[in-house]
Amino acid sequence: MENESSKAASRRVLEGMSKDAKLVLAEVLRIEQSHIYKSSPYGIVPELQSAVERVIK
Amino acid sequence: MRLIELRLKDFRQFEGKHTVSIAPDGDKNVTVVYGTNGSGKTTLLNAFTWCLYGSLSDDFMFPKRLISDTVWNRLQLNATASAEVALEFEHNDDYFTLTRTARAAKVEDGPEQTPVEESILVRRTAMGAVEVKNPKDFVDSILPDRLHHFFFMNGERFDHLLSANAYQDIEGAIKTILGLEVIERGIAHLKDVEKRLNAAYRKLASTKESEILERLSRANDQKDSQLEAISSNESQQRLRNEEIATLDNRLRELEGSRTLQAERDRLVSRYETIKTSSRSLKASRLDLLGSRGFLAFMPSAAQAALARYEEMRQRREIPRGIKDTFVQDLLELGTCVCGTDVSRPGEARSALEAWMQKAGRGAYEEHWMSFAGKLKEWSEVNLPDLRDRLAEIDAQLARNEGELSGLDQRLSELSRELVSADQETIRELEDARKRSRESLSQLTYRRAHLDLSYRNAVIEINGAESDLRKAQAASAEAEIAQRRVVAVEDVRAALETLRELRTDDVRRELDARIKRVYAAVVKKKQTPALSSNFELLLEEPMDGQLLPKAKSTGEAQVLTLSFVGALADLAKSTYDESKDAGANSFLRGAGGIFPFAADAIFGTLDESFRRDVARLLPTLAPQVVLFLSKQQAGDEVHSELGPRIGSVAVIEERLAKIDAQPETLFFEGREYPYVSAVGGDGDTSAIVTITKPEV
Repeated sequence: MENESSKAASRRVLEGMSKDAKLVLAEVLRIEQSHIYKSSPYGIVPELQSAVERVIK
Repeated sequence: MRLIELRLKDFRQFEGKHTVSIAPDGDKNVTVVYGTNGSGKTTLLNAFTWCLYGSLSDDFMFPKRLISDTVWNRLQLNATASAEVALEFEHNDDYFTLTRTARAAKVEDGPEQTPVEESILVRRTAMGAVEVKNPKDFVDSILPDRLHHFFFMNGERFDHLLSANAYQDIEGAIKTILGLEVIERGIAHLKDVEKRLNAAYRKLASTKESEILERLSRANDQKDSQLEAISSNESQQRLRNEEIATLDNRLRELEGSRTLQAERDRLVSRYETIKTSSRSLKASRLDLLGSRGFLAFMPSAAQAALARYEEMRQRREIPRGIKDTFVQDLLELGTCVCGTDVSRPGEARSALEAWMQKAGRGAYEEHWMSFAGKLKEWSEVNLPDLRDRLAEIDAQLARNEGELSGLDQRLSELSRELVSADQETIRELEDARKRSRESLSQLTYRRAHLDLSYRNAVIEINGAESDLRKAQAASAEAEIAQRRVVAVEDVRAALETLRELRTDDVRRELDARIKRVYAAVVKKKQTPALSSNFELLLEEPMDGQLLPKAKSTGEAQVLTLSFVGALADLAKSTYDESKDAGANSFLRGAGGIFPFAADAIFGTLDESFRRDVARLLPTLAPQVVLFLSKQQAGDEVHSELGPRIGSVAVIEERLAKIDAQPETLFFEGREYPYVSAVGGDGDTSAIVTITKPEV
């Protein structure tokens, strides 16, 4: 479904990220996906903050 | 999600137990439930949404009175009764039963109920039945609540998708299907995470770092507030445009304004055509200047380059006279021009070989000659050509401006004529139109300012980020804090870019699908479009360009259904893609297999549109459930739907009034009760199965 030019653009965005940013992105996606169907997103910001502090130290 | 069966117990007018079997996907994927007005078709549609989400449509009267009135009336004081809807479905090869119950105790006489609702989801596998915790979250993950009004549709209220604010719904649906919500939420939550990390960093930072952090924080706030203002501005512009379209429609209808409005329609269309032409001329001018603007500097630059070359040649800085091919020939001959033997390796041969490097290569002079020729051509041919083309563009732009000014003048005159019309209604309509136009132009003006402020905020963020990266951290701890802030800022920016790329991709994909579905049904010049602002439009070619046109009820309905069909199709392909092992991780859990159920879908359509819609319906989704009255299901509907029907039932309306006129439904040569006079203490309904799906 993604067209080739935007696929390439997405790839460039991801490849252009620093190692720190890639680690943070992976954590953000994991945590957000685990919360997506929960009725209340309560507590997600502290969870994300701890994840950033855990992967960059 | 694949629906199997809907079961009711004492739910609204359906006293007792009733079942609707749903036709599975395949060639016969349509389920039809016939029923007269008031027999319970809308109740059945609501039974789906109540069971799945606990929600009922706005037009569902007395939403608290879910327990059958007849059961409730017979109930003793302080006794308890319940209504129940159960939905059996299959998902990813597992079978589920979702049961929602409304239970109420009768504490006083009267029809009012105060039900307590409960929902239970059971998964049935070969190992036995297991209760699924959080049924709401589970259902939301396979057929999101946000999408249900697309897939459980009241045909009489379909046009909300075409209103000015529907774009939020449409954009939201697309994002839900694509799993873009993960990105959206990530962006929103990272704002708060960043604030926290920024505060933590400031405690450890030097004065310089603190200043940069303050700049970054301010710029981020400015960006967010500009985005909010832009979104509100867009929505107000849509409303104004919708107001103007409605007022134009009224003025087209009125005898006293019809001619003037027709002239205005023509002038507005011409105005738009010229505006588009001017936009494309300006784009061409920009393109020409970008790709060939350098030619303006060519004459003096070329002269300087030629003079410099000649100077270098005079100073012998550029080799001339000896060509590398000449030296090569001497080496092959084995004798230098001075007579020295150079046939064998040695000092003399090496000295001659060294000339190979110094000698002017054959191509060197040729290249220079060709380059010098080009310099001349650029100055003497291409530059005048560029000037001519720019002059042509400017002349056309000036002509356009002239015509626009003439059109503006005539449009103002038309408006004045309408404002001073004899008929008060026309004067009022035109006055309202003028106010909407003025407000629209103020909004457009404001929008340009907002865009500029937004761009400035982004530039400031980039600058502050770059300065932060360069700033020397005050300590090792501060350095870690700095890395965290920068990483979060980078992730947020990356997610914003990815969201834009993906949303636009899918909007274009959906636009193409809507066009395909619509064209298969409606054979007219008009084309549906999902605009870049997520508006569902119908466009018609006029003066060589596509312009939005007013939609008839039939066209609007086919357009809406084309959108729903395209959405279901997109959801399915996204679902298939997301199951692929190598799928993009953003897609995890995205898409789905969605059924389509609709009440009164043929509404007020005329015969030809009924046929078109009937042809379209079976293709909309893997499973289609339709609630129709005998009148809505005319011959044309039957001839189109007939081969695709896999399950049929009729709602028998059982009236308490004993002298009511009974009615029957003829289906494939047999007669079924449609309205019956049965007596008793209240009207009820019962579902009679005519054809069950083949298992």
